[in-house]
Amino acid sequence: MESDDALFAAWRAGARVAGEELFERHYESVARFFFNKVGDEGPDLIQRTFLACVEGRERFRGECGFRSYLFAIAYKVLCKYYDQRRREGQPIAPAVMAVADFSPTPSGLLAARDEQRVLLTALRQLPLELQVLLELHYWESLSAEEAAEIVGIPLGTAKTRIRRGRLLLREHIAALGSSAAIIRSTLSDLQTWARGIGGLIGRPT
Amino acid sequence: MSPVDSDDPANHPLGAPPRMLAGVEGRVVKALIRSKLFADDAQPVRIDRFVVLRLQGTGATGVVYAAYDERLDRKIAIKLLRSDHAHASAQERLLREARALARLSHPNVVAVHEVGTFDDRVFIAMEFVDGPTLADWLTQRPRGWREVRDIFVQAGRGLAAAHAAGLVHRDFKPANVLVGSDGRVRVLDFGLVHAGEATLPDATLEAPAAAQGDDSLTTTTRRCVGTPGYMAAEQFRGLPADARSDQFGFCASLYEGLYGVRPFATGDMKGLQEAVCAGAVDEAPRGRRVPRWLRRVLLRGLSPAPEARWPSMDALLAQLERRPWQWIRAGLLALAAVVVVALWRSPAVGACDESGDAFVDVWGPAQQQRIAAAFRASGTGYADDAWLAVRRSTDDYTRQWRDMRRAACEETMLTHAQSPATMNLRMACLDRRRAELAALLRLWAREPVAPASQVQRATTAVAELQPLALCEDVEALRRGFEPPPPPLAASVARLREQLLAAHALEVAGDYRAARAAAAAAVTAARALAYPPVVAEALYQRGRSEAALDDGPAAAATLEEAAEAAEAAGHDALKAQAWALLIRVTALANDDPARAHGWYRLARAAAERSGDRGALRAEALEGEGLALFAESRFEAALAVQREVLALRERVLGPRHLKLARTFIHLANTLDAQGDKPAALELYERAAALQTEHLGPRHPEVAVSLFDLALVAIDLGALARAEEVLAQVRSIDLEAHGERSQRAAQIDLATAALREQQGAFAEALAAADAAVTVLAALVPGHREYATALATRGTLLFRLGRAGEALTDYQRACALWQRSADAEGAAMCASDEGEALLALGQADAALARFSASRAGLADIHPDDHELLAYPLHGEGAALLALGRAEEAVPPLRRALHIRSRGPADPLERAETTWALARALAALDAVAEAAALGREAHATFTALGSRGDLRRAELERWPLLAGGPR
Repeated sequence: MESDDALFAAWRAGARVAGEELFERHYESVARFFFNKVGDEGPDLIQRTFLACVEGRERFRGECGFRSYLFAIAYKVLCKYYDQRRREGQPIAPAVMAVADFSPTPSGLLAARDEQRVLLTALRQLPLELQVLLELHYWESLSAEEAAEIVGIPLGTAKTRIRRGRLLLREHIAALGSSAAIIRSTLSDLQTWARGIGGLIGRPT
Repeated sequence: MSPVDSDDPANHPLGAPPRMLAGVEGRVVKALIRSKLFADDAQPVRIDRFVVLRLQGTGATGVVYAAYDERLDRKIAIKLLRSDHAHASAQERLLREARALARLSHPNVVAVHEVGTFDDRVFIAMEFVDGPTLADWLTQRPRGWREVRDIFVQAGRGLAAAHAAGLVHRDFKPANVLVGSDGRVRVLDFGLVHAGEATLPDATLEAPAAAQGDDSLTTTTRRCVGTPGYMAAEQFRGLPADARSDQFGFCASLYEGLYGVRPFATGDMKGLQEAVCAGAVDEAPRGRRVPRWLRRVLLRGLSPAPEARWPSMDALLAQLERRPWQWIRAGLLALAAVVVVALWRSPAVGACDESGDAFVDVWGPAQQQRIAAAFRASGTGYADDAWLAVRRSTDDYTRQWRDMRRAACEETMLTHAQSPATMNLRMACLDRRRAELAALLRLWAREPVAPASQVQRATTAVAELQPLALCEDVEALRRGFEPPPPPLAASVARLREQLLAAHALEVAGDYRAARAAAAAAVTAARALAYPPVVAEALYQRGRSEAALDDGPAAAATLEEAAEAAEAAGHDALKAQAWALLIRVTALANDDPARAHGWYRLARAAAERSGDRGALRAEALEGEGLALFAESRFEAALAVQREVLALRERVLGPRHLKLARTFIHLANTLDAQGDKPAALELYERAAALQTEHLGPRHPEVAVSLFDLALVAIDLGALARAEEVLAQVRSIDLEAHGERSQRAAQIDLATAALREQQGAFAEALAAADAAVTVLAALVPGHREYATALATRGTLLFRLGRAGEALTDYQRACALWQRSADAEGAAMCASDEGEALLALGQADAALARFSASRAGLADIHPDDHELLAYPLHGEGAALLALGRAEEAVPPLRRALHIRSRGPADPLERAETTWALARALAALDAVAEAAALGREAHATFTALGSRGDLRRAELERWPLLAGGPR
């Protein structure tokens, strides 16, 4: 199997097949990156990420590997999108779409699905940077170093924040575990969500 | 460094990463992005047959894509429903509901084009609406209460229409309404949630039944349905949602739209449920200008008990649409009362808002149930369809009636835009319309078991009610005749009641009872010295007689009615009487010239009466039939197109009455020889009728029958066979074996079998038809058709003598009925038989007569002309006059060489021309034609056997090169 780097070089030289192969390899990670953070604009942002990647507006530093490069672009695309929404006074509406839409769970396993829902809700309640750090580290198996580089903070800071994020997440999950809070979140529809999120996320550093 | 220490669960705080590609949405999104990134146009992403363009939005019930329907070249929206509905039964129900929605057509309900499953998921292909959701629309900018109210009223109409069709939304909220950029509001996502399926992804809302102290709910936790904040108390309790739950959701949404907050803005679920169940609506927030009356209307709709809400969406909408000054109406009325009471004649006229109950005694829930039960008890296969259609159209009619009634009242009482006298005219007109509908509804509710004929006519009966628009036409109303003098008023009113009852019997299909009732009314009317009602009674009797196919009696009565109407200055009735006279005369086919005269009178009367097109269309329709009966097809076609245009304008594009015009047009096109166009119009007629009447209705069979005949002519034998089987199954149930209808079907079957080459079976079918018709209608054209058909089959079987007898009897009948085409074609057939019997001279005379007859009514190259032309050639050939035979044969061959001519007939002409040319020593051309004919006869198998053998003995072919 050809390495990501070789495929990437070929793609930038114009080999479509190489680009398609890269897309196949990394699509799911990029999709996952956006899905619990934005709503219907997700597909647009995914597309934008791959485009920016081949157009080479961001410099590819070989030493970090292709995945780090791709996530760094995704993160910039995401921040730009959030900025723009805020400037336009538009609410940011993360997907109401359940994870179930992406991975159908047999209807008997509602409990498992509810658990996942609680987790996703808790993640959304974290400041954006923490959410990104945690997801990259635990879902995408990136090292703290790689995650730090993607978000653009020093390694030490990243390690501290990942720890802090984990604690915060646990608190949120505990709070959500009491049904009242789950219910409150379900009471809110898209707009209420957006208001809440708008207050919670800090501006990425 | 390794990010995760794999053994320590504390190091898996996020669990397994969610999978993005396990579900169909994920895969569709990926494919979309991929095709955009790599410009992969060759393999568009599809859901079913639709090309997905992009992700449009994700909602609680599913994901919506913008897509493109290549077949119909239009943009659509596809909703792929969430996978919660994993159970097959739930999916079935969803499909059923979506299909019901697809049948519902209303400007304020999103149009559903198609429903199906894709990758085990239900999808709904619907109209693509360009515009925001109502939720977004409300936040776009601050809006005044009137603007918000008006938009919601549109959405409310959509809900009301769905309720009328028996559908419940269950999850009405601003996010489920689209505001099109054309300003038209559409409600979507009807019935997509059900008990057991919560609408929000994380809304597994277990209704805490115990907390409610509601014993009926026991320990079973029920999952409620809907979106909290818009859910009614009964939905919180897990009880089934109905139209009134939708009303609650509607009011909660409108409340939010007006005040910017929800009516029960409690923070948590338990508090919300308690507030909803207690009806504890929050105080109105400050700073929003919403009239108090509007708030009161909404509060009633937000009542915890469904019975305490408005009785229906219609009732609620009527309240919402009130103008603010109506609420001071009481005071205003007190001042005006003295004047008004004196002016009011009709006891039914009350204040502007009392019309809501105008139909309660004939169209209340109990009456509706009674009628539905009576229909069902009729045992006909289309009873349910008929009931649904009747309910829908009656609801529409009554709704429209109420609107018009209120408008008529308000324009006098409140805006003073018209005089009380004008209001009285409009009110009296509306009262007549109501009485007309009421008579019909009473008739239907009278017996516990409805006769089949009544159910059959039901949908048409409502469609044929006088259009309410007549009551808008103040000019026409003013031009009416004098009201009865006061001493007679009560008797006249009673008599009109009788007439309405007679009319109801007629439209319900009980023609005999209608005639008896009308005849009694005529007698009673003559005793009163008030001419208009005499005319009305005569007209009703004439209608019933016409419906009974008693042409002569109907014609006499209608003429008398027209004269009486003339004397009474009753222009509209005069126009109606004449229009019907034309139809009666044209259908009886006895005197077209008189029919044209009546047409001119009817048209003039219609114009004088201030008609907006409905009466003119009636008159024109009769004229079209008269022209058709005279075989003046071009003129008939022009008239029928005008009827279609008028009716489309007056009645709208999907009215049942249009089907009749389609059929008339198709008949004419068929007679003119444009069979493909005729076929299409019959299909349209049948589709429209099926939509209104259901698939097993006898009227549908009528159109399908004509369709089958054209299909046979076009050689579309498979379609013909299929349609004919459907017709037979509908009609034999309704008419029995020994009916005119059965005979017609037998004749069509004969034609079909003949085309298939099964002559013996065809002859048996024709024989059956002749026997039945000889007993039922011995003097009728239809009998002539049967005879001619049987004659042709006998002839084909080599029994020319018997064929000649049938033809001669048929020709005599046709000549008597002034059917130029029938007579001409029959003459040609007679010629064929004579020729086969060796009487070539007599045959030649008949062929020439036939050709002359056809030339009068058809263009030179009309397909029918080929028959006498071929005949003349063949007769001349038999008489040894080969040179004279060539020109007519060449003309016949020319006609038969283009268009959808029967290859057997073309080969016959080719063969005859070959022989004529051979006799003139044009050997080369003769041999070529002979070979061509031989090839065709051979290809035709058994149909061509006889001629093939004949040809093979022909020296030119036998000797010539193979």
